[in-house]
Amino acid sequence: MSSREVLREEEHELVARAAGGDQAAFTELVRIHQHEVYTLAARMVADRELAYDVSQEAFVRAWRAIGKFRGDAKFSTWIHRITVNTAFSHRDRRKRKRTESLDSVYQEPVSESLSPERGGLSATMREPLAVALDALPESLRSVIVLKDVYEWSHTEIAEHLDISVTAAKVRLHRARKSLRITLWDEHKAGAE
Amino acid sequence: MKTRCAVVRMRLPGVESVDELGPRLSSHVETCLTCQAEAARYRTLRRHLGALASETIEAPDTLVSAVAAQIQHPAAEDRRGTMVRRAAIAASAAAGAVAAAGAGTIIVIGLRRTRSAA
Ligand SMILES: [Zn+2]
Repeated sequence: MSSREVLREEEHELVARAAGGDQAAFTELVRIHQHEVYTLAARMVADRELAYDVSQEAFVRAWRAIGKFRGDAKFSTWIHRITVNTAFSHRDRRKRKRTESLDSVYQEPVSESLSPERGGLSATMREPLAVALDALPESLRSVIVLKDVYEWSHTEIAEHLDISVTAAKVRLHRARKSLRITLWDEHKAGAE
Repeated sequence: MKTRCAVVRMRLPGVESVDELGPRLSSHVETCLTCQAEAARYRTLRRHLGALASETIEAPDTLVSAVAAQIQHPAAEDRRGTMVRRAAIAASAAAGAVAAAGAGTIIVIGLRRTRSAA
């Protein structure tokens, strides 16, 4: 059995225990998935404080619903969906706080272990992309993040953002075009 | 030719590859350097966005304990919520500044589904 299968097995057991009301088991699931959930929330809302709230609420919603979680799906897929729904429900409470935006996170140097071969961004592209993504209207940013970063289908996006598939496609088109203009016409990043 | 360039430019943001433009437009792209350059920009954009999936922003240290407290004592945590959250964000930002010199706040975790080549 590979280490990944062992981890999956362990997670399966944690989920089963959590579904039975074991808070410690659920807390362990939170510990395992905290960074990916926070990252998704941060990319969706582009605000650290709000991302923290969204992450916390997503996990609490997951705790309340874990009895209904079906083991045939991956826990990470399930918690991602809850996070997107939670971010969506926070949109009306959202206040854009530019000073606490994600810019400061993205501008920091990347770990030495993050080489381009392992999927990292080229240095010239990282900062302008982060800033441009952050500056997109929320309705466009959420769609391009889910489609081009997390590889959700248009159908999944439409369902979770409560929009039509056509609207999801139109928003993706507008988001990509906007980033393309910002990165090459305004920044002239030459980012290849 | 100019018209085809305009159509390609208009449609590129909505496709995953030039092939999706149809035979006439994709064969135009094969012979047009302007359209090839534009297609390459969108490819680069998608590639860099896709690369974000393998990078993770570290959650503030207090997230796990805040969730644990919330599921154990929801009412008490509601009262403390705002103060704890603000302290956590501030601490995380400070830690990020320190970590930038060393390990960094962005860590790599394999989160992505298998990507198909664009
Ligand atoms: Zn052309």
